[in-house]
Amino acid sequence: MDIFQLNTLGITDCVLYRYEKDKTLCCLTPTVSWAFKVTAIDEISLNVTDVLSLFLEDFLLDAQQCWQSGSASQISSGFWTEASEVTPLRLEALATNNGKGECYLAIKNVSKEFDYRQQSLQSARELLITHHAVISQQDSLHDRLQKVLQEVENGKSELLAIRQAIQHLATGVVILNAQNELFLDNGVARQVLRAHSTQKNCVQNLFQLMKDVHVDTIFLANLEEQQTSWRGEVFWQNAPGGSRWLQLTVAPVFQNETLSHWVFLFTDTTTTHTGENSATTSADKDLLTQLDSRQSFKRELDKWLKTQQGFGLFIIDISEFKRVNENLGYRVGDEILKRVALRLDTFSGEKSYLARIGGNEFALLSPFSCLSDSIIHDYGRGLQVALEDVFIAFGKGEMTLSVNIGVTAFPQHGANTEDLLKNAGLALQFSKYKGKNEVTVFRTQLKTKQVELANLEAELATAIKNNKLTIHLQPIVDLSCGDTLKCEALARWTNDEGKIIPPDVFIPIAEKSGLIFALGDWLLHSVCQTLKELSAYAPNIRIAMNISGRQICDPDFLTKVQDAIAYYGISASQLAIEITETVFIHRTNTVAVTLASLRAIGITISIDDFGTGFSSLEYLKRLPIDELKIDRSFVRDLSVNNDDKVIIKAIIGLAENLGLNVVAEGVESDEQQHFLLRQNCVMAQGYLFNRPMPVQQFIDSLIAQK
Amino acid sequence: MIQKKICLLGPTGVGKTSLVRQFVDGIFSEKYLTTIGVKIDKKQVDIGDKSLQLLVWDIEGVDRYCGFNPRYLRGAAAFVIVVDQTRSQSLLEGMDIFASARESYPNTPAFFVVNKSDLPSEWYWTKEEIKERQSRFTGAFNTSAKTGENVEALFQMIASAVV
Repeated sequence: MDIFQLNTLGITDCVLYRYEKDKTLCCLTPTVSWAFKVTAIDEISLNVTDVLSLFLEDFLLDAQQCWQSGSASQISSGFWTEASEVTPLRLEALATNNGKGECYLAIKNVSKEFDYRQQSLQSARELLITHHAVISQQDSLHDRLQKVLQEVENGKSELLAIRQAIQHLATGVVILNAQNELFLDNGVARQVLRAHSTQKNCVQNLFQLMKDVHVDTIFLANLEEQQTSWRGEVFWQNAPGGSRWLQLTVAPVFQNETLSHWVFLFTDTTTTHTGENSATTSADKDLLTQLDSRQSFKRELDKWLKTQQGFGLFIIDISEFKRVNENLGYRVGDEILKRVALRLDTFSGEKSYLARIGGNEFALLSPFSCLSDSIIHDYGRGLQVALEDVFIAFGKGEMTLSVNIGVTAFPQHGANTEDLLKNAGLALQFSKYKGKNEVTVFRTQLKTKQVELANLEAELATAIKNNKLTIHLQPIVDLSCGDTLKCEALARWTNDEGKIIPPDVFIPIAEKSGLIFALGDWLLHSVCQTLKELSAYAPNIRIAMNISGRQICDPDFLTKVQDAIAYYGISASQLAIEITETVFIHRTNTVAVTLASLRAIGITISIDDFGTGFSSLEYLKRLPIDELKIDRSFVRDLSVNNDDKVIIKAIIGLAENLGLNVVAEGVESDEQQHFLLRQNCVMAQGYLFNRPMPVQQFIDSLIAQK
Repeated sequence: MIQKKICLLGPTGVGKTSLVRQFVDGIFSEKYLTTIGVKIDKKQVDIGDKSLQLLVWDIEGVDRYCGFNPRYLRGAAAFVIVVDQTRSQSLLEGMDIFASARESYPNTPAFFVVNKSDLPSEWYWTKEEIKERQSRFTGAFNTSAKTGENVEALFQMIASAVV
């Protein structure tokens, strides 16, 4: 069916022009009435004699480039509105070049698409503006309250005046004094907090809110220490009267560097959220990428199944996309998602079907005439390569993304929607388990493997509970003489069948399952108990233990450490904590407050595997740390890799300038030892001196050393 | 008559279309209707004894649903960054858009407009902070598309700068 028939049937409303070799445009559809509003056309030759639309005139500059390029390409002008006496025309122009010398300009009347897009975006943008307005009101109010509260303290302002000013606001305000007693509040705050009866009730409910949304005391202490405020949107699930969304601002007020008040501002944004959801899902369309949503995807998958033709289902997950949003902002994140969608769409072509089924998850259906595992695996790799190229972030430089892909094929991996999706999800899970940029095609064995991992997880839970793990100690020595200065505790696990499960197997399982907290508690107690045992042989020895990012962010971590120290009657100065640089990427401030508290009681803090993370000088200067442990990868290759020598020298120099100790990890040869000694590195750990050993063996070595 | 292309850029909902409607037709509507794509309006402006026609490109607001497209600025004699004084965020976003536009068009005259001056300011930016940002532009105005305050003056100044 050609364009004339499509136009006649009302399927399209499109003007088509052929780009001629003499660089003129010839109108192929002169009967379309509005064609003469955008171009002047010679009635006999049908050649375009003038371009009447300013927008089109501008677009033709890009179109010329497309037509004059030797390769197949297509570009779009985007939507524009052409004024008209009656109804404005909504148009989109497309320039195409098939690469074989045939070039066209198509101008589509996109009134329906325009209306659809306008309706969808109208509500979405109204909500966006409302949300920004709420934030602005809170920021502005916060700013004014800061000033006026300082004036109250100085006796320049009247309390009554503030009370009157806040009573009529649409924002909830609660102001506490430095002792956390109610100073002022308003009606909106009491309504949001459902605190109608007493003042005490208001403060109680406020603290319940803070607790429920995890704005804990450490967090507040950190705001106070940094003299900074915090604002964010929280979901108060256990709110009296029913769960709701709140835009919340928490701000300390200072008088001569001393905390005088806490200001809490909140606006109920539940309606905005309800509206947002309906705006996003109203047409089963993802407004950001203009792709279909998860619901539409399932319906499409049903359709593909009914055809009984072979196809592959690819679930594409962008790794750690949350970090992109957190580090570069949601606008950049959204821009990147749109470009990911575009790249996937371009790669997969017209016969495929692409949808955005989650925040950072896309699903693709692609037809295959031959469905071998290697073919669909290669196709998955192709998708990955399409996303490998650098993304130019909106005004924020360049970045690369990592993706994991899970694949299933119809009919061999499932006969219905549920099975195909479940199996693709399982394959994706294994890709994630393997790391980044992995493509996994579903195999029945994956199910077995999943069962194995689940069993191992259950076994680990029991082993931790029944104290079946042990610790081994690896000495950290004086590089010049090999004498033990301190040691690192390492968890070891031999299961009931006597099989040794390596830490690089069970620790990731613990991390992924949440068992890391139980494992961390076990390690803490074991280390404290060991210190008690060692007190007879080395009363001042220090043991370092590894703490995961998730543990250090646990609000109860500090209390747990203090309780364990008290229970075993050891000194806090015998404990050292090792963390990796990555824990600072998220929740830096919270981590900093916890570390500062740990240091305050005498525990030292080391950065483990230093040099492999983001190694920011800014963080090193700001954070409370004592020691850097040079990652073993730099030490291992220093005899063959000059870069590693330079890096080690730089780390040692950096530590010296910042007054930090340095431990070289993984020292295995005399050559490495001598190089490190020449760089004034004092401490080391590695097989050249000792392997990790059971506690009794460590005690024996201490005795022998004496 | 000389024609000059002027582009209006800014975040969503700051009042770009309202400024154009006020300038071209002298009308204002309280109803917010989001712009999709681009719409071009024309208006003749007299500068001394010269007349020129401004081709005002009203471009869809930049937000999470629509990115900034530098292509629209091609051939522009000037561009205007519009922000809204009732939303602090709009200033940050406006400056982001300005930075992106500057990357592609480092020498095109740029004007800074803080719109909705008829409404109470709800941002915490100090006068100094605003001044510092204004200083990066060829000219700056506080406007109200609703009352018409400074709208004519804005386009007159732009016309004088590009004539």
